[in-house]
Amino acid sequence: MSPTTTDRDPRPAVPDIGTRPWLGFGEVRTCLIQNLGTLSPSATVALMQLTPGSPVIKAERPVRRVVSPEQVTGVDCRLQVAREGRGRAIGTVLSHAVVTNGRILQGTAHVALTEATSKERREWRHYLRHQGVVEVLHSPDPHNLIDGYLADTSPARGLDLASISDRIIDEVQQSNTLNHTTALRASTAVVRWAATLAPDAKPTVGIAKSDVPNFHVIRLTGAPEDLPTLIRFCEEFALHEWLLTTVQDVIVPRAEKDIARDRDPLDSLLFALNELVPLWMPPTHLSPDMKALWEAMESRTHYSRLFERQVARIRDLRDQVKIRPPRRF
Amino acid sequence: MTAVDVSYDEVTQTPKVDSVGLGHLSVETGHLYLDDFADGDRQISRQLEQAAPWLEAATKRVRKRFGRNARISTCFLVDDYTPSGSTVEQPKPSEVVDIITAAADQAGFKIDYLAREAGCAIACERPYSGPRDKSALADIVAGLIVEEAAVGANGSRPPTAQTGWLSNGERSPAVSVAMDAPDWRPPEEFGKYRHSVFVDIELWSLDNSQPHAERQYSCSLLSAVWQLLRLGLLRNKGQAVAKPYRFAPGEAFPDLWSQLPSITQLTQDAAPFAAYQALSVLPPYYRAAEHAAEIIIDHLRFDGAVLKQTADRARDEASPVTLPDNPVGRMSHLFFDDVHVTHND
Repeated sequence: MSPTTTDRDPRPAVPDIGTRPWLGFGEVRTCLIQNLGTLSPSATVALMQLTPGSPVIKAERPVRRVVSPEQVTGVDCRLQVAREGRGRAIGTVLSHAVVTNGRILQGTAHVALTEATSKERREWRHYLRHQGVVEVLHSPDPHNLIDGYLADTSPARGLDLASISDRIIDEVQQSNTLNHTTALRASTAVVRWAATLAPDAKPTVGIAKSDVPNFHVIRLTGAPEDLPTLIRFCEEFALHEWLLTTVQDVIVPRAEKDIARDRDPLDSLLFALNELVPLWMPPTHLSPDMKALWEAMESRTHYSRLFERQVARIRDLRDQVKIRPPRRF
Repeated sequence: MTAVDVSYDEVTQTPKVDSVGLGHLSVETGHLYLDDFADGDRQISRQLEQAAPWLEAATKRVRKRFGRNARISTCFLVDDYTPSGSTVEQPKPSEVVDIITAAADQAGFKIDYLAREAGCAIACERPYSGPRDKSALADIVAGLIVEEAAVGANGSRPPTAQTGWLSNGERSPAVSVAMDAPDWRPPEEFGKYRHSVFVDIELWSLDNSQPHAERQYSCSLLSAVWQLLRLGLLRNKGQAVAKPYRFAPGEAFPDLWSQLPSITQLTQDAAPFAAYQALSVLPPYYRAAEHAAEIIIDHLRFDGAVLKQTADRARDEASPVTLPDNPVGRMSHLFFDDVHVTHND
């Protein structure tokens, strides 16, 4: 990584251990917070205080982003391996929640896989010293592991990062400080990712939209110390993908339908313009590596241009409504 | 134009971790309930008298290792957390301090720090602490517990520590009718050596008759908090907690135990309260709770920055100290016996 990063990740996802991780797996879920209004900064920090006494990380610029302390889940399970081979993973998975601008909630689970340090399971405190790492027994082929993980079904047969990321969302949404209503009905989007980590490997990204709705799969490569950047990249991708999908598949079609039926679509159009559009903030400011990753992704997907086009469409619809107000309210 | 390196950081993105002063050895010389002071100094005198020779031996050993300037402190824990029968007749803090000081003098040593158990549940930094000077330490420690994964656990099920119990193994499957249960399977300790020593620890209880009942923490969990304070390993959002408070000359002790700081420094020039090694010299009936506390500590996820800071401090000592990776390795116990000798004059 370049020494001139502008955003330090306070929690090293790459632990200081002898064996370096050679794979990273994760899953990110993105949804609206079940609260009618935007959460204030202090309410967001309180909501993210999932572990008493552990610091909540917050950044105000360019958008307010508040991150819960990492939660730790112990696992000892067989891994889903494609084609041939078997593997057993022992260790801990990390998960955290992220709230962006008091509106969007993400639940993210991630783990680094390393070669086992012993042929047998070791005492528990050994695994607790390397939080977010699972040691893999029986040396399965990494490619088979990645394919097995990315294609795992629900309920998971291997590492269940889906349940872990789901649970952290539930834990936050069940908070009695929320009023459990939303201004908009939008679905939860899932991004599942796997990274191949090798010393001196350059960061690369490959994104595939699955045939399951709201489900994306990302394959990444990078050096082991890039893992925090790759995790953040996937979270940022998930947020932006959710924004684009919500605007394109929920806001615009609904407004068009409302106008066709002479109903007032203004509320949801204004919600999109005031609450969602300002969140489009590609993370290129974070580090040169993040900038390179994001710009490379943009050059293939043209996400920002697609989003701008949707925003223009929303403004059009809003103006139409202003010129010719609907008859039915 | 040439490229310009610009950096932008927000302080709240990088949490700071306070460092805590550490001595070489902390000796817990006893542990009593408030009720035990009902008949004055009889109980405490007996405990301190029993502890004295072991304190002397431990002091000698540490001085031999680290020289004459080895930093050794003594402490005493009073249990004001367990609900007592009669709050009216409870001795006041100032009375207990006088009794303890006199009893220690009698036994031939000094007690540097007086701690109270309720101050382990919620740390109070100063007398008459308000909410700003308090940290819910028991909640913090309970939140750091990571249950050991059973074989087959892939993350699909929520952890059971939320039920208020922690075990060191796989529980015996629930059997509805114990009498005719041919399928009974024994519990099994994780990583057992041939046979299991299975322990199931109650971390807290709730009074279910009340709608918003607060957790009543168990002695086991509070012992874990207490030992972690003595090892200097607890922080609240990076800040040091339950720092010893020294009353100024002429400053009166509060009348209620709940108004006392968690840890009161009784002697001037005492060595630091927390230390690289913590020895507890205790009556035998604390054995189970102390064992449970060790198991709890073995299931905690520590802040890597705190562990590193402690290890670095130890290594940078004039006589470098190498600490074990595992905090339990810094604790030792001595449980004295119940044998009394009657002297015939």
